[in-house]
Amino acid sequence: MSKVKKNVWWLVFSLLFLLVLTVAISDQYYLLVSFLFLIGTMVPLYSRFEKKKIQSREIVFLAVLGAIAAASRVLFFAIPSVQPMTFVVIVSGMVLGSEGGFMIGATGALVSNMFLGQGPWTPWQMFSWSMIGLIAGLLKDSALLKNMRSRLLFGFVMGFLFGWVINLWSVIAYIHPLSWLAFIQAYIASFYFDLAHALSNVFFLWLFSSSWIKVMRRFQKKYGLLD
Amino acid sequence: MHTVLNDVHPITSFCYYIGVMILSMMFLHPVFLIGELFLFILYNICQHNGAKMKQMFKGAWFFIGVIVIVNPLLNHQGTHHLFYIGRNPITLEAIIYGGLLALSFCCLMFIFLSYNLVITSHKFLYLFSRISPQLALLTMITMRFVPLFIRRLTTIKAIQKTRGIQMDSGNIKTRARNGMHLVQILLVCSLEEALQTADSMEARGYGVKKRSSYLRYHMEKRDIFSLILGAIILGICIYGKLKGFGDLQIYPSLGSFGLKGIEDVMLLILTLLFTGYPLILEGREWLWWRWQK
Amino acid sequence: MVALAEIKDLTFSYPEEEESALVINSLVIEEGDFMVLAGSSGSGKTTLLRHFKKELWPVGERTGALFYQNKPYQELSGVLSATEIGMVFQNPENQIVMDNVMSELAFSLENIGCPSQIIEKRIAELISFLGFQDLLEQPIHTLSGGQKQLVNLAAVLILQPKLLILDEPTAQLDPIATRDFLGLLKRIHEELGITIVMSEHRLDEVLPLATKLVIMGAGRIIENSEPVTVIKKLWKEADKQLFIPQIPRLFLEMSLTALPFSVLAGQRALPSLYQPSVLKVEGEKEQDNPFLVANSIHFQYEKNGRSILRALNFSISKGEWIGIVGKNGTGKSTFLMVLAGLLTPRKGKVTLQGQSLNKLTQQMRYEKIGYVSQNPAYHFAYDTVFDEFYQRSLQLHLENPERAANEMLARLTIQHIANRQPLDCSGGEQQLVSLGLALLSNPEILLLDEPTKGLDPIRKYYLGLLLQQLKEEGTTIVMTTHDMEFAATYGTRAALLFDGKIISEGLTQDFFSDNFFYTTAINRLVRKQLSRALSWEDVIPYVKS
Repeated sequence: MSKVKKNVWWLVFSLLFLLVLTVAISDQYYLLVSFLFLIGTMVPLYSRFEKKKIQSREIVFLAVLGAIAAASRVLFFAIPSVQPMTFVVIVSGMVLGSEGGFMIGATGALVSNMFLGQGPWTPWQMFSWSMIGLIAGLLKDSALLKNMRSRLLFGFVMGFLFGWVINLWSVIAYIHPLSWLAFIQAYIASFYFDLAHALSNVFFLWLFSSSWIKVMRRFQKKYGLLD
Repeated sequence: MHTVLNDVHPITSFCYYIGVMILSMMFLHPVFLIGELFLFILYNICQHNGAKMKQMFKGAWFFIGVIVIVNPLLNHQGTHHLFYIGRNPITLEAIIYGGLLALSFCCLMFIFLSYNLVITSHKFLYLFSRISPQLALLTMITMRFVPLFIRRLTTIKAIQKTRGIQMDSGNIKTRARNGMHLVQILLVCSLEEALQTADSMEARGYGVKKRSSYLRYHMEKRDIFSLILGAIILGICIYGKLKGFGDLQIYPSLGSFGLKGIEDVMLLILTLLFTGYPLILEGREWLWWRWQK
Repeated sequence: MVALAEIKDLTFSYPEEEESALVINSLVIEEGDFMVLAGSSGSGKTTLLRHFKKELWPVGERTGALFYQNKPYQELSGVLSATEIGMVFQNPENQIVMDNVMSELAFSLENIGCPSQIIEKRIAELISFLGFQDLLEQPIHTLSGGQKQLVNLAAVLILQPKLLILDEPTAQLDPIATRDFLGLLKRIHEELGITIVMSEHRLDEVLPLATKLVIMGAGRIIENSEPVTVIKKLWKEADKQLFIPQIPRLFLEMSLTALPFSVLAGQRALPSLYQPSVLKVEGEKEQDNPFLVANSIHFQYEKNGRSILRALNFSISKGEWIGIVGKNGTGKSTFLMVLAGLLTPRKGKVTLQGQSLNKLTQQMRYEKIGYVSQNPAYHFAYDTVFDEFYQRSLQLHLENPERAANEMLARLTIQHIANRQPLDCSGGEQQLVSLGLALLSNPEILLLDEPTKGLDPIRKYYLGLLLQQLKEEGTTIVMTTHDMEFAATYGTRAALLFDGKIISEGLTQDFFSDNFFYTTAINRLVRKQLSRALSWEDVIPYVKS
């Protein structure tokens, strides 16, 4: 288990390193590089899932949580920036671990866009939500997520990070030449949306994370998914 | 609306969309982009997508505006200084460049608009089931659950009014809390009921053997021909781009809007040919029916 | 006859439970059998059925031996068990894995690794046999419950099973969908020779098809023989008589030797009865005091959606008990939710004691109105049954919420599940809990959506008694139901909802004796002689001894 975790951390770090390196070396083809980065991050995690022999109950459990995430997003779609999906993904990661969190984030994003319409944002949303799930899963036994206050802080930070990554593609694709100023401007422009997202994460985590974790644990046992 | 592109093999139509996305981002040249945009609008009209196009513009004009405005604000290269904001020059080159990026963005929007009608989620999953069957299965089950859960939540929302868990009144905090409580009830009910889904999978032999995938679509001659031709065109275009053709010269100083030579004209024709693929299919169909009568 | 499956000296108990859930000395399923399993809820029917399907063996302690085609179940290969033994469950919705019919059918075959050409051929063949080309491309969520259950059956049939296990497959369906489903079962039994084992509460429709009837109680097989023999034995035991369907019940009550199961067979065997001396025709009672009134209600779910209710008028007086019948999808459940104020009508008004519903605060509304959905789980919001009652009492500002909760538990005799998760309780218990939630406020009117759905005859009987007692205490009751017998036995009035409108309405006896299809089996049986008889009790006084 810890070995798997170590590998995942390694993967994330080496990919981040790769990203920084490519940006530093070349000042062209950012879009291409960023797409390769998305693929490079998600494909190894996906293929791990693909190779596993997965039980019917396990796949159904993941599908239910992915669908809850997607359905909540579709339902709250009218209210901008209240993103219940991030909450669902964080909590799922905390219960199921990094792989489950990753799968639920990615599947939830993909499937909700099947109902809301696919666009160039789909891969970025899949990436962002799956990474939130992955990180929540990696940190599930750490003091950071065990303690309510730091858990809220985690949700807050994730709200902003999410917005930033989503902004990234539009800045990379449509602002030339890239400059830090461009990023900062984009982040200022989206500040209120990101803040609302961050605050809704805090709100939901504060009121519901404990009860949701309890419910999921109980059903994990009922599904026979505990080792 | 059903067009011929809906009937070609999913691999063919999927590759078409990937191809046009690459083309629309590759050639940042007004003639190319306007030509592509024209074809996409035409095809979207063929798909009876008019209402959606309008709706999309309502959502996208802000972003288009941002692209046009922000680029010159941040980028001061170029020789044609129009005016100054503070000490920074606003250059014609940067405005043109922003305009081109906005055009490219519009193309991308139209591409996705028609993509959503042609590559239905089933076709998408069909494509994926060949590469990653287990993942496609998970996505499929999730997709099946979403409408079910939305309906279930509507019922739960109505019934829980009897218990005072409602979203009709109260401040936003109360409503958000009650809203999430309703989703929690949905979670509990759905996890309980989905146990039976797992049983039903188990009962029908899930996991006893390596699964096969039912491949519903068959490759026809037309698909193979289209794929080969498309690959050749795309290959030539990428080669041309790498050789430096098909670009509008902007920096250090603006070049002419016209096409620079025979190579550019060739690339334009090929690009439009590729982009117009669904229209060509549509035209052939139309002619055939005319011919019959 | 060849034994297809066999159980010898099986005992099974669930973990952490002392009593055995199953004790079966011997049960043989012969090739070509159509075996029907009956018994009250909790008698072990589902546990027994699951033992015929290796993949679904419940976790617990098991002794004894099970054989399929003379081979122990343990030696059965996964593929063989998946293909030769098919299983269909109670809930049509939850068994479906994919989101359209074609993929759902393909899913079964993909599991056993069939190549595409074979899948294509089998789907084509099966669809031709079943005749549902129109459904093939449809998304699952557009299908009705009955159609979903047919899809579930098809998804099993496509594996070409030899033994078909069905666990109360029609419990969630309306009578018409039930008949369609059973009709199809009859066809596959007769035309394909597939052996069928099914559990069922409503024996009326299924008995004519059965070759064997097995009665279970407390995990044991009490009777196992031909249906006629078993019914005659049940008749001798007072506590089992409730299981006997109406038509054979009437013949047993009349002490006749013939024991028909269907209306046609019954009419042939029916002796002539005394003519009722006076045709007692009650006039329509004036409704003096309308209690709950719905005035030209229009309802639709979406702006341009189908209109579910159109210009619907309805009223009920205090102390009445009205049963609303009609096919699924005609808007019965929607109507009940509109009456309860859970859905707001597009046009029209619902008034309670002359006061418009939307003028009442939600708190007040649901003190006066008790609403129980056909899906009890949707009422639950907390962790234990006790908590559910406790929180509801708190919300009602009752003086002593703890005592109120405990009293309600006692009143419904469900103290033993006080600390259980509501969803871990059996279906019948869940229904009592949701009823209890509504009763905590002592509502003046109860709105019940399909209260007898999925209940065994004994539970149904006790529910009837409980509701009758409430009615005598002055509670007004409106219920939707598919159970004509239940509506005829307990209701004071009945109404038929069709196409978003109340088409006809009247006192129970007038209503049902006027109907040709929507009436009880006994009425259809004896209507030529006694047009107003609805149950066997109504017939007995006219029997010539």
